Amino acid sequence: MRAPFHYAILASQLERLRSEARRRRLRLVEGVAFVADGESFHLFHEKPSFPCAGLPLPCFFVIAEASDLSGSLMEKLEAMGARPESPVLVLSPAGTAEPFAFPAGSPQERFPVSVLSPEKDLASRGGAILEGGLLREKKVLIVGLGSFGSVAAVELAKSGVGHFVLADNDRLEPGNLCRHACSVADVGRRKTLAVRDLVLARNPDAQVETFEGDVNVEGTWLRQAARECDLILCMTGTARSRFNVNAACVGAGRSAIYARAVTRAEGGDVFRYRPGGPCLACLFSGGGVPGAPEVSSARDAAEAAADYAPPGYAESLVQPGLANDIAPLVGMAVKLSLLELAPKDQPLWRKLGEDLEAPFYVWANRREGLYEEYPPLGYNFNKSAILRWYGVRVARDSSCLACGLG
Amino acid sequence: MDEARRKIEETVLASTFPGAFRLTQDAKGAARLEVEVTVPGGGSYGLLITAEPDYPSSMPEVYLVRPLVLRDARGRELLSISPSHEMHLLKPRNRFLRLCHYKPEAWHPSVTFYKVVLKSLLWLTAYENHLQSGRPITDYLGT
Ligand SMILES: [Zn+2]
Repeated sequence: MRAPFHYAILASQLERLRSEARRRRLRLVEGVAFVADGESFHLFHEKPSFPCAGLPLPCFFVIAEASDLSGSLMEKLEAMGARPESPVLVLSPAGTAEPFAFPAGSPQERFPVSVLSPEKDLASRGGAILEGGLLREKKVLIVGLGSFGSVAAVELAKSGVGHFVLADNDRLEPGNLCRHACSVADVGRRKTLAVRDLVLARNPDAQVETFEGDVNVEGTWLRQAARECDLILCMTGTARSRFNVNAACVGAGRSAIYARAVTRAEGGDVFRYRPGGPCLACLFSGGGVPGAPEVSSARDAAEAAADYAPPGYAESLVQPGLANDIAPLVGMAVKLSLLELAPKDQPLWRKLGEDLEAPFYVWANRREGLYEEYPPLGYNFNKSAILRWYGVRVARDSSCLACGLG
Repeated sequence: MDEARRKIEETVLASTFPGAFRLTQDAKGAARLEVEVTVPGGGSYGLLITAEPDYPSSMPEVYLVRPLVLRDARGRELLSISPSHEMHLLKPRNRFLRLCHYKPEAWHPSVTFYKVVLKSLLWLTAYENHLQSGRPITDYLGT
């Protein structure tokens, strides 16, 4: 006996197909199915908004009641180019019966069709701490789509955020792959477009805008984008871009989350700005934050290396840490983001609002560099150690020129 | 640099270097500060400080534009030994000496042109000491 095939279609596409067929009195519609492993078929009559697994194959949609299927229909399908393995999906015009599918060569076999509603599924999960669908109307700007931003974008899509603005001016390079959310199939693509596809693959109904300019140069764009979003995530590797995002968020009166790793991701930190509170510049002017940012790209290295460094020094600065060392930092950035996006009456706030009171969080991955003097993790809970979060009180710097002006 | 920031820069500079500076911006917002400084008990120097339109998010650059030729204690032109870690000199641009002032990781937007000028004045003081002692500038300013 043949192993059961698995057929799937997006609910949104199914609904549009049904109304289009009714309006234009269509009985037969062509489409494309992506066939993975020879047994899983995802059918589309409109171009999918995300990359699909497997290879494309022509498929057909029949808008008819099951009882109306006739031999002449099969002849028509054949005339349209259907091959024996071409998937055929049958949907009742009024939606009174469940859709089913079969390979064109064996119309007597009938397989059920999974109707996918990723947005509804996203909204129905996690309801105990955050009511479903509440983040659908929220819009986030993510600046920097490297190992931090790409992962944060996917996490926020999984949490049900419905609107994204993705900004980065780089393309994905082979060296990014060890920590990036995108895969080898995306090398050479704009990071914005590759990450957009990841977001849409989680939530095909999400609205995603992309920006491929340099935020250090395109200040007007950055300020406008900040004004149009509910929250800004700054996931870049350079101090300059972080301060530019800070200026835009302070000016627009928008909350922002900043996450970074320090040298070889031996540790890192996450900072939250809320309008009226200390800004990123207060954090640095009011005493200074230890640790040079991690340098993870040749471009960052060229900026970080003093001119008089010996030849090869810039290249030696590129020492990205492990994806595993980045994960806790991105995780914290996403948690803080969800808290900012969630309405205050949500259980998430009762459960996390008090705990995440500090604006600044420090994390150490390994006992080296800045954290060399830490004792081993062991069993002590009253000493600074690796692999624990430390909330840090930060006061607004009354002489800060970034948030004190204007 | 926006209007509010520029006012602050000008106010501070006017009270510390009265009549000795000129601050201009081009159509895109890039800034140039020309300033005349004097090392206490020493020489006078002309500095040119340039900043990108996104200053103060980005760090400005400091050039020594007067006198045109500066030599080290051994008589070598400083231009010919730039960039130099020992002398805190970066790669020259347009044949002007470029001073190392703030380390990139120490820069933040509350640092003003005035503070950059002070740092440059420290370099010039160290340079004059170097001429007396022959010791590298790193001995006075650290690494
Ligand atoms: Zn501030």
